Amino acid sequence: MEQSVRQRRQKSLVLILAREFASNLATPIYIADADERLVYFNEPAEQIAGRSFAETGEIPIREWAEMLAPQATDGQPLQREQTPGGIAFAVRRPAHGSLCITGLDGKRREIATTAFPLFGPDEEFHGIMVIFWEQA
Amino acid sequence: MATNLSIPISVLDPDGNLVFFNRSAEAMHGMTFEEAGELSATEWPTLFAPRASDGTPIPLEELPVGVALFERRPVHKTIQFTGADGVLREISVTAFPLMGREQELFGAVAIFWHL
Repeated sequence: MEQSVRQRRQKSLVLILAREFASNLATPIYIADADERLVYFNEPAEQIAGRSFAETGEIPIREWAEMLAPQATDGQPLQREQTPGGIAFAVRRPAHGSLCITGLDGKRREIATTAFPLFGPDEEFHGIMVIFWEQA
Repeated sequence: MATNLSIPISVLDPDGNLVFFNRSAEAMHGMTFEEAGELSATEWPTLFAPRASDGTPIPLEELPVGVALFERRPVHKTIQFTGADGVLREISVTAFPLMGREQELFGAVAIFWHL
């Protein structure tokens, strides 16, 4: 039980640090935890997602992905596992790609996405961080 | 934040000086940050000799961190560089500017991984 409490604390610390980092940046970022829940996206991401994090709250990442309807740049629907975020989560390695999403404001956007796993100093997996930006 | 992540990360100041890289980046750079210390915007490109996949040298302003700093936008590229250990590495790099809420530039971050 003591170990469980310590692990929860450590997980929280990594995600808290990630959130603090993201909240101070002008680049859109979202963070999901190891349970595949969207736990934060920053203000710049709100402009692409079309909704604030305060409105969305913590939701399962699959729900978030379904809301944004990701597609390949040729218009083919993408499964979560095919997106950089899905790869970073499933395979635990960084991934990058271009895809299209439809924001909650109804706008379709082509974005570049880099996702990487968040491992703590103890090599425990805590979730993923996804950096994305609209392509010109 | 960078210190606590297992993915290689480098941090540059607004002038392009390399002011930090984390332990994961040390293996890629072929040296520890303690050994390297801060490297100026002229020193580190000379040391690591970044180049395109065809071997063409890439000037600082065209490197991902250069684009992030000078054009103030995120970018992703695949490049090659030679570590201080003499090993040529091909890496994927995502770089983005560190900008505050008032759009002031604090530097740039490069996140990279070996291909």
